[in-house]
Amino acid sequence: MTENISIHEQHHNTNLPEKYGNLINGEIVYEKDSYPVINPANEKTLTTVGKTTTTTINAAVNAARKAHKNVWSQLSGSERRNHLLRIAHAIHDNADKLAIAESLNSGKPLTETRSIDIPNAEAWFFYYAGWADKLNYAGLGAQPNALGTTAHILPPNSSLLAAACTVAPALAAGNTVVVKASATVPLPALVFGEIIHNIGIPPGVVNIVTGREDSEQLLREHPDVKKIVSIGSDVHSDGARTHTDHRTHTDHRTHIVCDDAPFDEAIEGIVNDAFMRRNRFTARSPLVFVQENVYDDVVERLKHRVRGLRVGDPLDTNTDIGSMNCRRDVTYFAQVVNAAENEGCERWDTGITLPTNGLWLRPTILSRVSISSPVVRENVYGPLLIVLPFRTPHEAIRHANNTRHSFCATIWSDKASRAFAMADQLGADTVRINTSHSCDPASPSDIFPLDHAQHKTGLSPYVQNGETV
Amino acid sequence: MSRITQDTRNTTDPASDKEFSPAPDKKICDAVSRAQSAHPGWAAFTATQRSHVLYRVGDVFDTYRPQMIDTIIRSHGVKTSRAEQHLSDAIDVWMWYAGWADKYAQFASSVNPVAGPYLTVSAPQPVGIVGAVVSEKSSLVEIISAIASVIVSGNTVIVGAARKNSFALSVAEILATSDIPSGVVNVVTESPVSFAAAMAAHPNVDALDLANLTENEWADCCDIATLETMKCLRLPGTITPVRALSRITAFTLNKTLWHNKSLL
Repeated sequence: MTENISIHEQHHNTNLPEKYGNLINGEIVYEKDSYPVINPANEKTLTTVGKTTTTTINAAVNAARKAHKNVWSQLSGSERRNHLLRIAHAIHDNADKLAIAESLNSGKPLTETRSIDIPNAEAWFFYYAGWADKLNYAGLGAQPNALGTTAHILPPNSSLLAAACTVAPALAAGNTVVVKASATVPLPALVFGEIIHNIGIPPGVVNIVTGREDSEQLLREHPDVKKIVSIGSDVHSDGARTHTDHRTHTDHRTHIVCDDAPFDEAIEGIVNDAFMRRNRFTARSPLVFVQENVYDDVVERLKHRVRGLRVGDPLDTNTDIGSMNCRRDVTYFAQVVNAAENEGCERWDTGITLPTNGLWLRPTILSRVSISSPVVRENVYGPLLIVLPFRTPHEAIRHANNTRHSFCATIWSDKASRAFAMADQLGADTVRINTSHSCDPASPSDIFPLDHAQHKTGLSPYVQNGETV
Repeated sequence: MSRITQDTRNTTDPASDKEFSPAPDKKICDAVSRAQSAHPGWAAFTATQRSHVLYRVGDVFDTYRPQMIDTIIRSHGVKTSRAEQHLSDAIDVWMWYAGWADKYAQFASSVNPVAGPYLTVSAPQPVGIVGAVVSEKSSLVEIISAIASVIVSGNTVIVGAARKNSFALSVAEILATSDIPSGVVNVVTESPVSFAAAMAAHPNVDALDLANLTENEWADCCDIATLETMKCLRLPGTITPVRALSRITAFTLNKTLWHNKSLL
C-alpha cells in the first residue's frame, strides 16, 4: 500500500506537535519543565515532553483511585467490555499515527510497527474486551474483585504493545491504570493517550505519564498502587520484589537447530528473531545452538541472509533493521562484541557504513563461540547473533538450560517426536517448534509465565487472591 | 411460501413394513446445502476473525433498533422502555458470545497425562451443520442465544422458526446485512415438529438444538428414530441460563491427537 507513496509524502504526516502532555484524569496535562525527545535514527529533536514531578505521579494515582472507586468498579462487565472495544477501535483507526510515533521514537522500522506492534496491541484489547463480561468463567471465582489501581511500567522497546499486553487485562478485570512510559521513548504511549482521551472512556480510568527511575520508584512506593507491572523495565535493577510487584519475564531467546531442521525456515526464523524482532521485550540477543554436522553450513547461510538485510531509516518501508534507541546499549554492544573477538570468537558483520548521526549498529554474527565464553551470559541489546555448536540434542538441552534467566526456546527439527521430547526437557517457558516468535493474546502465558493456575486467561495478576507470586 | 408439492405419497420399507419419513421440504434441503457450503470457510476463519465478525454484528443490530423495538412492543405488549431493555439485553447476549470465540477452546481442551511418551491433546472442533428450532413463543434473547452460541465455534446453523414467531425473520434480515458470510446462518419458517423431523432425517445435518420446543411439540417428535443419528443433541427441559459456556460446547466435538515424543 505504501509502495506508491514517495519518501517525501511518507514524511509528510510525521510533523509532530511541539509538545506532548500526560493523560491525567481524562485531560492532557502539560508540565512546567520539559525535555526534548530524540529521534534515535538521526538524533534530531522530535518534540518535547514534560518532566514528571511527584505532584504529577500523585495526581495520576489519585485520579485512577477515584475513577476506580466511583466509576469503573460500578460499571457492569458489559460496559467495561464496550469501553475496551472503543479503545481497540481507536487503535485501529489511528494505526498509522501510532506506528509512525513508535518508529520515530524507538528506531524500529515502520514495516515492523505497522505489521506487528500496532495490530497486536489492537488484538490484545479486542481479546480482553471479551473477558470483561465473563470474569466469572475465568477460573478466578464467581465474582472476582479487582485490585484497584495498577501501575504499568513500559519498556523503551515495545511501548504500545507492552502497554496493551498489561493494560488490557488490568482494565478487563476491573482495575484502573497508571501507565508510566519510558523517559527516552515516551511518544507511543503519549500519542496513545491523545487518541483515547476523548473517545468516551471515563476520566481517570487510564492515565499515562512519562518518567525515569524516580517516577517508577514513586509508583512502587505509593500506597494506592496495588500492583506494579513491568515488562522488561528499563530499570536494570533487581529491586526488592514485594507482593505488589509483578515482573513479567524478559524474553531471552534460544534456538536449537538440529541436523534435520527445515533450513530455509530456520534461517528466516532466526534472522527474524535476532534482527527484526530483537526489540520486542528482549533482554538478550538470541543464542543459536546448531548441530555440529551442519554448523558451518548454517553459519554461512545466516551470513548470506544477513548480508541481504537493509539497515536504514526506520520510516523507509524498505528498511529491515532500524536504529537502536539507547546510547548505553550501543556502547555496551561494542564492548561485548570486542571482548568476544579478543577471546577468539569469530566476529562477522555486514561491513556497511553507518551514518555519523544516530544510534546505529551493524548486524553482527559471533560464531566459534564456546559455551564457557562470557558473551553467552551477557545481556546484550542489539543486532547480534551468537552461534554455538552442539553434538547431541541432550547436549543442546543442557546448554540451553544452563542459564539463570527464564527464556523461550525454538526447536528447528522436522522430526516432531524429537522436538516434543526436547520440549519436555527444556526449562523454557515457551517452546516453539519450527516457527518464529509470535504474540497472541489467546496464549498469554508467553508473556506471563508466572501466572500458573490461571494461565489460560492472563487475568489472575489483576484480581485479588488471584496470583501466586 | 411452501414448496411442498401436493401429490406426495409415503413409501414403505419392505424389510420392516414401516413408513419412510417424508423427504424433507425443498426449502429445508436448500438451506442445508447453503449451510454445508458455508461451513468449511467459516470453520477455517481463525477464532479471532470469527469474534471480530460477530462483534460487528452488534453494530448492525443498533441500526435496526427502531424496528426491533416496534416488534418487541407489538409481540410482548410492553412499554417502550421495557422493549429497549429487552433489545439491549439481546444485543448484550450476542456480544457475550462473540467474545468467546477465541477463549472457549481453552476451557474445553486438555493435555492428557497418559502413561507413555506421548503428547496427547484433546481440543474441541465444531460439529458442523446444526439445526436449531425456534417456537412460536421463543423470545428474541432465546433466538440470539441459540444462533450465537452455535456459530461462535465455527458451526453453521439452520434455524427453523414457527411461522408466528415475530423475531426470527427480523433477526435473519439483520444477520443478512451483516458481514457474516452467507450460508452461516439460515432461517426457514416451518412448524417446529416438521422441522425437527426433517433435520433429523437429513443426512448432512450433524446436530440439533431442540431446547426451544414446547412440551407438546417435544412429545410429538421425541420418538423420531433419526434423532439417534445426531452427533450433538440439545433437548428441551434443560434449564440453562441464556449466557452459558455449555451452550457453546454443546455443539463441539472433542478431537484427541496423540503424538509420539520419545525418539530423542
